[in-house]
Amino acid sequence: MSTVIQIDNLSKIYDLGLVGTGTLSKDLNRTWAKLTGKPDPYAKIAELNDRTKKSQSNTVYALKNINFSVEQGEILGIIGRNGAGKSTLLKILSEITSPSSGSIKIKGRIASLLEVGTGMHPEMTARQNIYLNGSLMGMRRYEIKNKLDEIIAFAGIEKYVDTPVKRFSSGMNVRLGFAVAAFLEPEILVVDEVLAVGDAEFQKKAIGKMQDISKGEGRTILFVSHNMASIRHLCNSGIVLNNGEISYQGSINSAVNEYLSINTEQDNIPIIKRTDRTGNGNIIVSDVTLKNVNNEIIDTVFCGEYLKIEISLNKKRDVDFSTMIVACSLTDIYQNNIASWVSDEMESNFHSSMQNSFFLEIPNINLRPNTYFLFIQISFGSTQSDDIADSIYNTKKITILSSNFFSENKKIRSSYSALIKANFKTK
Amino acid sequence: MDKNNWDKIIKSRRSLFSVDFKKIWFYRDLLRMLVFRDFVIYYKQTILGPTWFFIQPVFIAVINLFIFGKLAGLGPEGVPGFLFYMSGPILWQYFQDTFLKTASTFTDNQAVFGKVHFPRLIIPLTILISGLLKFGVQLCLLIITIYYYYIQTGTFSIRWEIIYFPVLLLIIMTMSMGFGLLVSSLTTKYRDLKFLIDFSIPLLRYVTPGIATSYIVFINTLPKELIPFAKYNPIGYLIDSFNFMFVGSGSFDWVHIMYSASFAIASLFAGIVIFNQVEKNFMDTV
Repeated sequence: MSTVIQIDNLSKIYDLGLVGTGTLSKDLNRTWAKLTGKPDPYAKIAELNDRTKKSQSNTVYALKNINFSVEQGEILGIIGRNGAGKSTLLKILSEITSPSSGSIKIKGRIASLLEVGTGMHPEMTARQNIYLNGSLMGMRRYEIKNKLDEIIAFAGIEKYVDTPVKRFSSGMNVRLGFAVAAFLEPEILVVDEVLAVGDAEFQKKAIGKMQDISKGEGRTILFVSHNMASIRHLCNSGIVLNNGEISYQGSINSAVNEYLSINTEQDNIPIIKRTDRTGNGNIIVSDVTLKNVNNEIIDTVFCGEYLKIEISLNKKRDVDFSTMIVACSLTDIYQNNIASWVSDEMESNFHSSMQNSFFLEIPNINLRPNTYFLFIQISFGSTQSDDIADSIYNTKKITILSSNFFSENKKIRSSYSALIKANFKTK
Repeated sequence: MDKNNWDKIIKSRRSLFSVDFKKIWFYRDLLRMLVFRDFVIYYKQTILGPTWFFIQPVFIAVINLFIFGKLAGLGPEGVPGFLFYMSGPILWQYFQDTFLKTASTFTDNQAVFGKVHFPRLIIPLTILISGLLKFGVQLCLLIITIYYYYIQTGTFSIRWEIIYFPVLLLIIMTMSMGFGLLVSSLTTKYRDLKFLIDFSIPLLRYVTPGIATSYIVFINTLPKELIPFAKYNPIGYLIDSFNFMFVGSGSFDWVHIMYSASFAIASLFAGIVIFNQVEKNFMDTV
């Protein structure tokens, strides 16, 4: 294994606000500093890039002192919130813009896929566009010619090869664009969130192709995505960017967890103060606590163990608790239900005289190890939208740890899924 | 790790005149595809198609013949006015198209430049060559017209100096690209320049020798204040020489041509230097 990318002290400074004639004096100052060998005078007052805080100075660090290296054959996932500097990093890597300071050393041919189908012209046919797009990415004409059939087959557009691409659906355009890029054969491939478009079948195909590229041919891939599932699936190591700085670097699983924890810390507002909720508001969820079998407060639980979820309510109007229906579910980060409980199905009734709190008792939390999020919905009489008093996602983060669910000696792998006991047998 | 092992080092600074010609050569297929694209899409969904290449110079010749020849009485002596008013504008049009298109290289190609890295100089080169194809077609039309007049009147207007035409063409290519590069680099940040150029270049044609009338006539008829525009106009001498070679009305003077050539080379050199500096960071300012 050898290092193919070495990044040292990389920084990128951006001016905030409009670029206009007012920048002329700044330009002259900068040029003067450059001529006299001094550092950029505006670099000193630059501050870290936090989107949410109002900035004090007019320049900002999109990236600050980034240091890392990538080994050959590594698939590195770069994750971070919007504006964390991911795209800037990729842009510098692909030489679209240059760093303000620091350096990147690269070994081998690098190709970047910041967008698929760049430069394709709607009036030209698919075949012509393959040549155009391919040569734009640095392929030679004969290379494209040799791979033309494969590219067309991969894109699945055999029928429309000589049709102008303006007649294509947007999905077909993406297929075509990715197909060209997939056959680029660079030593290093830089991929931005390009798989978001395209149908499920194609996404699978694209990820599969990228895996083939790295495993089979020892190529290095840098991958940016907000889709934690595909990042986890594809990458073997990860970097978390936060406000232009590297906040974590290591294995992909811990990187994803780190990212999720940054994310939840950021919206660590008490449930009662949250506004991202729906319902008529007659009663709202005010607090949620997780407890173990000994009634101790916890935030992690081993798979298959006991879990008690205590929910406190805040009454705004008088309500009849005997008609209350509570729905709870554990979701993944995309708010897909993994497991759910609805009180009326379970015939768990509440007393009219009950206080403002109750709990859900789960004797065995049979879910694969991962971080789950609790969704709660409170309604009265029915679960129709008019009767919903409160409905809120992500009230609590629940981390489930791996245990020996199926067998004494085997820990189970992490994923988003429920666990059901079963056995494989032969006749 | 051996430091010399790296294939590429990305840094913030770059030397002043570091054009990677090897890389441009490597991307020659891209140049070819872009020229092909320009040609394919230019007259897409038009009925007359590439016939427009012919129609434009003919119409311009007729209009110029009427305005300059008949109304202003500036028509050339001894040669058919129609020929004269066709040849000058063809070359001027090539210069103007190349110049203005090159000048907006960065703004027109923002989308592509923001997503893919390739030698940016490919785009101006594409413009230069695509324009050359159109110019070539129109030049054929000019030669056919000259031949037509030869059959009709018996006078063959092409002079032997035409052997220097390739030199002339090279100078005009260099100049239009050089000027274009200079302006393109300056307009990424200060767009005012683009407005200035867009309206002043088409105006410049009226004080350029070889369009309305030949250099000699021009110098004698122009108001005193406008004479410098004709005299120091580097493009004027080229058009006048071009007219001389093909139509027989104009002048051919090596001193004038050298003057234009040095202008061209200087502008290309300066253009590339600035372009090279702007190219690496223009995405942040454009």
